[in-house]
Amino acid sequence: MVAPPHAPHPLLTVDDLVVSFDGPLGTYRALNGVSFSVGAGETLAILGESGSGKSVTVRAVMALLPRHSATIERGTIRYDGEELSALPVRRTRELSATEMAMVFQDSLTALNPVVRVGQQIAELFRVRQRTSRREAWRRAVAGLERVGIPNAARRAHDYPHQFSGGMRQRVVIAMALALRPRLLIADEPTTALDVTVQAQIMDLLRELREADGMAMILITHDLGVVADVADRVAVMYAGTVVESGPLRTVYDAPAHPYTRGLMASVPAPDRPGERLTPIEGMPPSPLATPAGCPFHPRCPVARADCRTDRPALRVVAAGHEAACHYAEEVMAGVDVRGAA
Amino acid sequence: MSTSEARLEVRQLRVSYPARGGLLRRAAEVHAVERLSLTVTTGRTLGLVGESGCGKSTLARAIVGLRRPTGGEIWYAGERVDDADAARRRRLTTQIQMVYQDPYSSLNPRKKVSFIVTEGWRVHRGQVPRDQWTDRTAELLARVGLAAELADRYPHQLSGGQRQRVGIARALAMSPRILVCDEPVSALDVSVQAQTLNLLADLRADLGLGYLFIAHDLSVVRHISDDLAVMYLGRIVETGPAATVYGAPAHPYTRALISAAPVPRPWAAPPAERILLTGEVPSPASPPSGCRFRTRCGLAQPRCAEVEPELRPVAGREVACHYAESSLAGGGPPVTAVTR
Ligand SMILES: Nc1ncnc2c1ncn2[C@@H]1O[C@H](COP(=O)(O)OP(=O)(O)OP(=O)(O)O)[C@@H](O)[C@H]1O
Ligand SMILES: Nc1ncnc2c1ncn2[C@@H]1O[C@H](COP(=O)(O)OP(=O)(O)OP(=O)(O)O)[C@@H](O)[C@H]1O
Ligand code: SF4
Ligand code: SF4
Ligand SMILES: [Mg+2]
Ligand SMILES: [Mg+2]
Repeated sequence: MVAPPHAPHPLLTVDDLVVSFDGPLGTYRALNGVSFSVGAGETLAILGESGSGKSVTVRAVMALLPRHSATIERGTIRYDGEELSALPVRRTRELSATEMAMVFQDSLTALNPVVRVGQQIAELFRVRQRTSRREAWRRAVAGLERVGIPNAARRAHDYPHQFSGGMRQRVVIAMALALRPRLLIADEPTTALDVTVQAQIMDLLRELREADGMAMILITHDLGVVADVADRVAVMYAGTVVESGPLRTVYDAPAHPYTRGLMASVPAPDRPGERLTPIEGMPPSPLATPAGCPFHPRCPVARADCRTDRPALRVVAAGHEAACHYAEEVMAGVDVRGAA
Repeated sequence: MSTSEARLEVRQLRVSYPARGGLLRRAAEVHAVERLSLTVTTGRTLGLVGESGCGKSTLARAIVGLRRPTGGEIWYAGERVDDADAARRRRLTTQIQMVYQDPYSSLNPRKKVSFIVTEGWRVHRGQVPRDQWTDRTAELLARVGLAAELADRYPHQLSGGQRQRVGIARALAMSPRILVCDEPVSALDVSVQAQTLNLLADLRADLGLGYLFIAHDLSVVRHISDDLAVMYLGRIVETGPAATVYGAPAHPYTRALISAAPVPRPWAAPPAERILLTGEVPSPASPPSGCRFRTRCGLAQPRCAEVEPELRPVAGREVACHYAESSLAGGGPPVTAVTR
């Protein structure tokens, strides 16, 4: 698949997003200036550390952050030219119901256990497109067929628990795709599934994307899945995007030491049992993000100014951005411990 | 710590759940694990892979005594575990501990790390004298690479990787010889995953632990396993040395599974053929007659519907397939194959 050039007209642009939570330990920032964009028809994968803010970012886009404890302190979220953060939550929810859709890791929680799956999808057409009951049901069955549920007309009458994990995830995807969204956000859609089901679901998403020109944001820890479907990759660390660029560039010539460390952590298929080389040290606590570059306590190439000056995300090559003072040296492969 | 070899043997194990919706058919049962045998030896790792819902977690729960088997036997170090009287069983089960998939939900959110780690000592009185708890806890935390001050934290104050280490420390507190690890790294980013895998490898080398390691990510399983077992619909369909099974899978299901695994850098690997499985996973409530895989197998012959294949030695491993030899040779009518 040829990656489209850096999309001229971004569908979604997130700029300098700062989100904080009021917790039992006080207020802390989960997002500390997140910026990225997704073009129409493009697939962006978000990689990054557990706890770096990937889910919080996409929940902010979908207006799904808990209202009592989360605050958007700063930043803009722009969808197709409209600024979502300026709109009332209700309008964002409406947009997110028709134009954007989201698939979560745990499909069980996304479905109502006591409503037949066909009914759950039909409801969307009834409410959002005011179709007749009969037409809504017909479209629901067609939607189930589209995601490859065998005997969809019959299975539409079944309840969620009567489906296997993989089939249930397909139902959730059918639901997300029902209103033909222009942007699909998938937060670890296949983490709980075995590789054969995962491959089916990723193939399905790819087909739908090609057929409908749908854009996608995919969050996953699996570098193989990312390599399989993404056009571009954004890498998050400690509440910020530290690197973004075309898939192969980020994989083969990363410009941020954190990304290099991630790539070097993957077990080599031809050397089973060999000691792995993780990034040393621990991720920072969100309560005490280090001054300067947030990665400096763990960075093998940190210098004095990294402790005091916070690097901004900047262009290091066409379509390739990184937040590191020494990105050019990192790209050139200068001494990075643990790198391949 | 004793380092003499000990074996955990599962023989012809059956684990059942009451079938749902069977109001009239009383006592109907789903055999989630069916006549399954395997051996875990201290100092070695047996990797267990298989389709979502094929019974891996059910098997794990039965082994650690959380679910009563409905048939077969479980032996540890020459003693039968599953029908032992309560006292003997308790003594034996401390030696077999479990590490859970989800570091978020498997720890009690209201208890501090120090309480979570010592939980087993409260249940099994006399395991560790009360006055040694503080010292032993510090030792355990150091053993899994956690700073001593983390003992006073609650789970939500820890990162995903730290929580997973707490889960491992809790299991180690009982001085087990065997760890049953149910997807211990699935929710972690690749760097934290690498740290955790290195830790497990160290513990195996230093304490002579034996692992039953369940995972969906084949590159992880391959990395840590000496032996591999592949499960489909409650039964083992192929098992043997990891390099043999992974290098040249013989069962058609194993072939499909391995071919579907995403690789981190597909552009750097030779083009691979991906075997797509079609059809839905049959329900364990009504498995197909004969070979359980036949409804999705491209090599199926009339005989496959009549006679259930049992595990038999083929080319250095054991396979449950009538046509394993031709499958191994890549022969027979191909399963729907596509080149990616
Ligand atoms: N509802 C919430 N209340 C308080 N803190 C939260 C909430 N949701 C997330 N956080 C915190 O925000 C930070 C970012 O969490 P987020 O779930 O976005 O991480 P993630 O990158 O998706 O990680 P993972 O890969 O483990 O899913 C974490 O420190 C997390 O503890
Ligand atoms: N408590 C339960 N009651 C009834 N059926 C159950 C229960 N737990 C599991 N099952 C069924 O038993 C079968 C095996 O489930 P199990 O959780 O062992 O699968 P698994 O191999 O661990 O799957 P995964 O890879 O998705 O974790 C499934 O068909 C499941 O629906
Ligand atoms: S700015 Fe400095 S500390 Fe941060 S990633 Fe770059 S070299 Fe490392
Ligand atoms: S026994 Fe028959 S159906 Fe089963 S795996 Fe072998 S060839 Fe396929
Ligand atoms: Mg998340
Ligand atoms: Mg499981």
